[in-house]
Amino acid sequence: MAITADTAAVELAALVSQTLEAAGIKATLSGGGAVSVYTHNQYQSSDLDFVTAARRDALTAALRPLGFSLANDLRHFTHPDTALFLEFPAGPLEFGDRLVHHDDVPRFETPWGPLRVITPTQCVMDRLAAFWHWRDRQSWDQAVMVAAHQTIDYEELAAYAASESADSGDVSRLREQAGRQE
Amino acid sequence: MNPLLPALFGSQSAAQVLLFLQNYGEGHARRIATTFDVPHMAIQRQLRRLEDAGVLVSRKVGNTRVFEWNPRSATVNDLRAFLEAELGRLPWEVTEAHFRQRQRPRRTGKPL
Repeated sequence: MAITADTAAVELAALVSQTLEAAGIKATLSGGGAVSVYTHNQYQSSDLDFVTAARRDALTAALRPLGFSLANDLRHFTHPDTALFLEFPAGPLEFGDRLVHHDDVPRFETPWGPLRVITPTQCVMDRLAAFWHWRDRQSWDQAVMVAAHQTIDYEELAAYAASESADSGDVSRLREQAGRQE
Repeated sequence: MNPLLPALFGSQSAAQVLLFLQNYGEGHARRIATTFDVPHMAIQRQLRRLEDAGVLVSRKVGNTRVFEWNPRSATVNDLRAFLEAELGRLPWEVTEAHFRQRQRPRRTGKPL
């Protein structure tokens, strides 16, 4: 599959995920890229963050056949035909005190094949954390969008809110707002 | 903005300062002025007035004075609940234009 300016984030994410897996690299899509996947691109992320413990040279070699190369800052990977870029934050993958192993992340089936991506509930946790810690209301809106499109484990969310000492009312507000957007 | 707010708080800039701080939790005069495209001095004046009244507290961060709510005031807590409800009533265009600046960190060197 050729990567072009029209390649959607979810399509590219699936391609990258499968390429990395084929090279023996476990990496889980997180952040805004996961929001794009779960909102059917209603939220458009400009980058794809894959959490991984893999070394930069291994990533560089695995991604080269796709046309991605390491940028001068040695932090992200760019492609000449798409504005979407890739980043590989070091692990661990964690949500508060919940440590998640790559092998425990269920593969999400996209029209372009499997994608290792945090679950919708973890995606909402990730956004809520940004809302709670930095008062980032963009993240709140994204959490609502994901919850409106996907099935969320609200009991798990409530337990997460308690463990973060966050306002427990936020989970019910999220559910209510998501219900209005469905 | 709800036209009642400038009437209640005495001026448009006072209402803007209060809504901004409820939305973002803290702020400094230049950022607030830039957000609403209003004169810096008008915002500065309101911040000082609200600090003098005990509604806000401030601290220096480098050369900038950052203001936030006075956490010790029960009146402030009630005021914040009122402002939160007002934020929820704003038209989406206004929310998007003024109250959805990115707050979460972005790593140094990220291309956006």
